[in-house]
Amino acid sequence: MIGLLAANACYLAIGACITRRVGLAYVVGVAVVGIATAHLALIHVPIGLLELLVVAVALGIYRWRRRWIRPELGEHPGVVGGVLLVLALGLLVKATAAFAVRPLIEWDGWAIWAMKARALFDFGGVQHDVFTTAPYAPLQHPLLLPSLEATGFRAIGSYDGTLIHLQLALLALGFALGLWTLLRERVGSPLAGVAVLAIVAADSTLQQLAGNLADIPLAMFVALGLLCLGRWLLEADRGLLALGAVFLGAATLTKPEGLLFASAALLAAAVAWRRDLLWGALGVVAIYAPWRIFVAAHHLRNQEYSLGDALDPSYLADRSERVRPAVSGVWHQVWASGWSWLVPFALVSLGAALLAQRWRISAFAAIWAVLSFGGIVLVFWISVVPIQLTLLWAAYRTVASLVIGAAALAPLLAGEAWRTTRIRARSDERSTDASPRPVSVASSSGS
Amino acid sequence: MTTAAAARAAVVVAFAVALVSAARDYRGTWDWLSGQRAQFVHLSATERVQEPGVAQLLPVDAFDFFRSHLREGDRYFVAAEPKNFQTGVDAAQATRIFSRYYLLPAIQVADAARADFVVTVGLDPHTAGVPLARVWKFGGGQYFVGAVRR
Repeated sequence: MIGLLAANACYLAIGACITRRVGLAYVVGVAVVGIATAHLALIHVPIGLLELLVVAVALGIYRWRRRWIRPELGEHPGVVGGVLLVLALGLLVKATAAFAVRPLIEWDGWAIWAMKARALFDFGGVQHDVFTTAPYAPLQHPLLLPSLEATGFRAIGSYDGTLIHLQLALLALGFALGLWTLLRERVGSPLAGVAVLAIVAADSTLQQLAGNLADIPLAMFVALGLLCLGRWLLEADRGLLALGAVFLGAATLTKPEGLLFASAALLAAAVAWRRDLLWGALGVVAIYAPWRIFVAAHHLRNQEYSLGDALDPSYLADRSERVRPAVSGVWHQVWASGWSWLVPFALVSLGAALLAQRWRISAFAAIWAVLSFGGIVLVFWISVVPIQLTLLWAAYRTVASLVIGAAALAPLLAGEAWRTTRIRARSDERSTDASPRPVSVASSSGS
Repeated sequence: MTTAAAARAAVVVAFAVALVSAARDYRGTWDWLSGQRAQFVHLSATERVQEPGVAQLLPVDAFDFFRSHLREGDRYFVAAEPKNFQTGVDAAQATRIFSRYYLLPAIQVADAARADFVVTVGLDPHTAGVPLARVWKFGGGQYFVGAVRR
């Protein structure tokens, strides 16, 4: 276990050399190391504790001597927000204790994800047939999560199907702190705290994470990437766009659906067309490209569906009887009790932003959610697996990114509504008291 | 009520909804985590390793028998008697899928002609269609490992 914790300390150190936000450093480090190790696995270069230490020290020296970035601990959490954050972190510490003794149980958890992680640990990369031949299907799942877990195994010196869960719990802790940090810089601490607490407390979040499936890690990267893009829309901060590209790039390497959610986010961000967005999109493409080249070079096919079929009207028409159950099945899962009231939270927040006339951020959130929902339905529509079976197996977890992503954006929407209405109210008061001259709030509202 | 007041009211409602959302599930998630730790903390190291198969009601001791005959990089072919296992998965498929995880770092192949070993469940390994130099039978049931003659 000490080796695993040491590896995670390296992720934190590497992340701290990339971002000045201390609360975000660990999850940035996980994303960056996950991306790098997933790519290096393709060329059979295994990364262990020694290599992580060398990279962390080298980056630290570079930062110290050349481009020092002053770490920022973030603003004071406030009483209400602080209590809510502590409750969330308490639950995640409890999860860490539970996950640390949990063996692999769920089918896909060991049959797909742990199997790939173990093979990467055993062989050091994608050599042999494990990643390219039919007995090891599905082959289209990218390698970020298995690579991260294999790095942990190298750090402890052996494969361990129990400690694999500790890595997942640490990722959840990093996600919660990262989400808090990104939100707290823009919205009040009560809203930031309640969003973090609501997401981690929802039944499905930790229960699905415990299964060692990639859906919740994917949802975490998608949510953080969305939040970075949302804030970039409001603040035009290129650093946030770069972080968003890293998180969305990590999402594309976590599960095939990551490409769907990341593309939807970049398309939705086009509501505020700025040239910077092109660089962000290119960053995501650059992160995804090596895996796509590997898939093409080895002719790896998704056995369940081909995205090309989505562009074939006759194929879609032939399977039109799948649309209704796909829509109702996905809709049902979005509203499932396992997500508690996260969806109503997102919808009410969107309503608040619309009432406050925060059009751009509202459009970003709504377009992303609609595209993501439509994309999920489309995947079930074009799949060759019987519709009831694929909905039963996959719908409950495929919606995780949609629900958690929407819930992560919710406080940004609500916070903008609150901020805007307060600014307008103050402006109105001032204009009433001082002079009849109208006061514009456009510059302060960021619309 | 102005739209600004309505927007602020909606923010308050959103906060309340999120708070209720967290409150509804917090205790349940906490109890679930407690239950998970209580359920698994006493498992031995061997039981933890075997749990993925045990949880699926697979005969893990037979897979331990298979594993005892395979080394890193060995290629093996799996054949199993087809019968129902669970929704969408038959027993032969379940055997192949658990083998590919549990028998790592040996490598499963789809074609017996490429295999160093044939692993069978409920079937005579000679039915795989490749010449076998030697066959081992598991004492606990119809599980076989055959070494392919080269």
